[in-house]
Amino acid sequence: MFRMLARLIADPTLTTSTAVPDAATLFATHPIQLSRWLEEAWAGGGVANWPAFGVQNVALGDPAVVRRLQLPDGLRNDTLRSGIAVPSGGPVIPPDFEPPPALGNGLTLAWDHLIYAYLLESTGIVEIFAEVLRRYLVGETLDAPSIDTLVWARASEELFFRDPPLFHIGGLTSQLRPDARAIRRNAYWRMFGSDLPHPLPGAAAGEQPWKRDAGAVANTRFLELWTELLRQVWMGIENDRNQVGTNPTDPSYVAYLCQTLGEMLRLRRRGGMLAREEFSAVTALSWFHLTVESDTAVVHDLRATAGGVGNPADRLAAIGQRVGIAPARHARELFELADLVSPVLWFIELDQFSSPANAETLFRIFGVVNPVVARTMIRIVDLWQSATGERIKDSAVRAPQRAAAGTPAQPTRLPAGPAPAPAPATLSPNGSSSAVRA
Amino acid sequence: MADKPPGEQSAAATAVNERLLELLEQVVANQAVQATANLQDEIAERLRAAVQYRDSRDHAVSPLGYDQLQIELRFMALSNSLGRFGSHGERDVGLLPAPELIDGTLSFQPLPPDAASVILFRADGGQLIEIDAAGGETPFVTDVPDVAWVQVNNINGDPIRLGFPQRVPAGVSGRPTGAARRSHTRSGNAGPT
Repeated sequence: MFRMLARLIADPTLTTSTAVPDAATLFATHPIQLSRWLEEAWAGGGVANWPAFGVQNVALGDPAVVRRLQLPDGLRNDTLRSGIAVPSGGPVIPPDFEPPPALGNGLTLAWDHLIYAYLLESTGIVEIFAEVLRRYLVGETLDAPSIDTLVWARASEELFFRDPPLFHIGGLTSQLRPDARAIRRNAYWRMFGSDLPHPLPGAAAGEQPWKRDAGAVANTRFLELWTELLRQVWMGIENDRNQVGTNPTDPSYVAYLCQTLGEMLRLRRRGGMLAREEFSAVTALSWFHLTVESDTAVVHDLRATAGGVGNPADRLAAIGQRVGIAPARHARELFELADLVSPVLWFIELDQFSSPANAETLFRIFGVVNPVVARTMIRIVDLWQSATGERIKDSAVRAPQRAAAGTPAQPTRLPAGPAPAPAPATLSPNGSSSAVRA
Repeated sequence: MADKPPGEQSAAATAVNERLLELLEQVVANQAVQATANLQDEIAERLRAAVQYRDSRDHAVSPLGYDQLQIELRFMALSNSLGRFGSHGERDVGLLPAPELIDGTLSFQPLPPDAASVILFRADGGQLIEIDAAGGETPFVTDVPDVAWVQVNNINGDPIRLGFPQRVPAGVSGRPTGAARRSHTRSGNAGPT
C-alpha cells in the first residue's frame, strides 16, 4: 500500500504510467498520518469493492469484513483523517496536513495478495532492516544517518516494530499473539502451506508455534497445484502456434487448476478470516520494498545505491553487507515475482480464470494485440523456474520430490475402489520443501 | 474383291503406322502441354493462397473473443490499481480516470484517443447503456445512479479501458455538469445539448 501511496503522490488519478513514485515525500510524512491513511485505504474496500463483474462477490471470504472492521465513517473522515493529499503547488517536505479528500479517496484501490508479502519476506528484507534500525537506534556502528533517514527510522519503528495505535486496523499484536513476524508466518502457513526459508530470529531450533496453532488445515497442496498450473500454462504457450501436430494444451484442466486453487485459498478466508493479517503484512512489506526500490535517502546513507535502473535486490544485498546479513540468493527473482504473482492470485481467487474460455487468456499469445495476462505468466514461469529450480518448461522432467510428495495433481486413472480409512488427523509436518530456496 | 499384291499391302501398312505414330506423338505432346498447364494452374493457386495468408496476417483478427478481451482488460486494470503499469518497457494502462457521479449524472474526463464508445454497467453485470464517444471527448450521462463501472471500447469494439465512478456529494465538485435531468441517458461534449 505504501508503494501505491508513493505513486498516488506523483499520479493522483493513477493513470499516468510514466509517473515516478515519490518515496521521499512519503517517508517524510508523519507516521500517525500514514497510520490513518491505512485506515482510509482499508475503508476503500480493496478487492472487496472491486466489481464482481456479474458473478458472486467472493473477495476476502466475506466482502462485508471490510465495512464491519473499519473505523466509523464520521470518525475516520473527521478527527482521525490522515490529511495526506497533494497541495496545489505540488509535494513539499515535510508535508502539510491537507484538507480532504485524501489521496486515493474515491478510487477503487486494491491491496496486494498475501503472496506478495510471502515472496518479499522470503528475501530476508525484514530481518535486514530490523537490524539496520536496531543499529541506528542503539549505537553508532553505522555511519550517521541524514535527517531524512532519521525520519524514516522513526516512522519504521513506530509503524512496524511497536504496537500500533489502539483500535487501528493494523493493530494485530496483543498479549495473545505478541510477535508480528510470527503472525505473518502463521498466515503464510495457513494460506500456502509454506514457511519462510529462514528461521524466526530468536526462536529456539525447531520451535514453530505458528504451525502448531494453525491446526491441520494448512493449504499444503498449494505449491503442488501452483507449479502444475505453471507447467500447464507453459505447455499452452509452447503450443499456441501449433496448427498441425498433436496439441496437448488443455484449457479445461488449466481452468480446473485455477478453480481448485481459488477454492483452496477461499477456504482459509471463510467469514473474512486473515483479511486483517493480509492487509497488515502487505503494508509492512511494501514499506521496505519502497525503501530499496530506488536510491532513497536510506539507500544513500547505507552506501547501497544501484542507479536509476538498479535492482532492489542489489540494494538489499549491499545493505545486508553493512549489517552482516545476506539476503536470499534468489532475491532478484523474488522481488519481481511478488509484483507479478499478486494480481494473478487475486484473479484466481475471484474466479476469473475458472472457465476454460477465460483460462485460455493465460497462454494465448499468437495474434493477440496486447496479451498482458499471458505475458505476465511467461515472466512468472521464467522467474519461478529460476528461483525454485523446478523445471517447469521441460515437460520430460518431473522433480523427484513431487513424486515422493504424493499423488500428482491430475489422476491418471480413476480410483479402483473405496479408499482406505483415513489416518487420524495429525499436525502437518514441517514443510521441508519451501517454495523458495534461500 | 481381288487381293492386292504383297508389296502394295506393305506400303499401305507402313503409311498407316506412320500416321498412327504421328497422331500418337501429337496426343503425347498435347498431354504434356496440358499437364504443364495444370501444373502452372496449381502453382498459381498456391501462390494466391500464400498471398491471401500473408494478407490475413497483416490484418489479423484477435483469436480472443469479446469476453476474453474483457478478462485481459480487467486484469490490466487490477494491476494498475495495485500500482503496476508493466515492466521491461511495456506500459499497460487499463484504468480510466475515475468519472464523477454527482446526483445521478456521470461525467467523464477526456477519453483516450482510440475510444469509440462507452458502456455503463450495473453492479450485477447488467449493461445499462452504450453511447458513442470519440477520443478526447468528455461525455456525460444523466440518470444513472446505479452505475458500478464503465468500459471504453475502440472502433473495432474491443474493450480498452475500465473505469470506476467516483461518487461525489452534490456541490463538492468544481467540474460543471450543467445537464438537465432527463429520463433517458445521452452523451455530449462537456455541455448540455
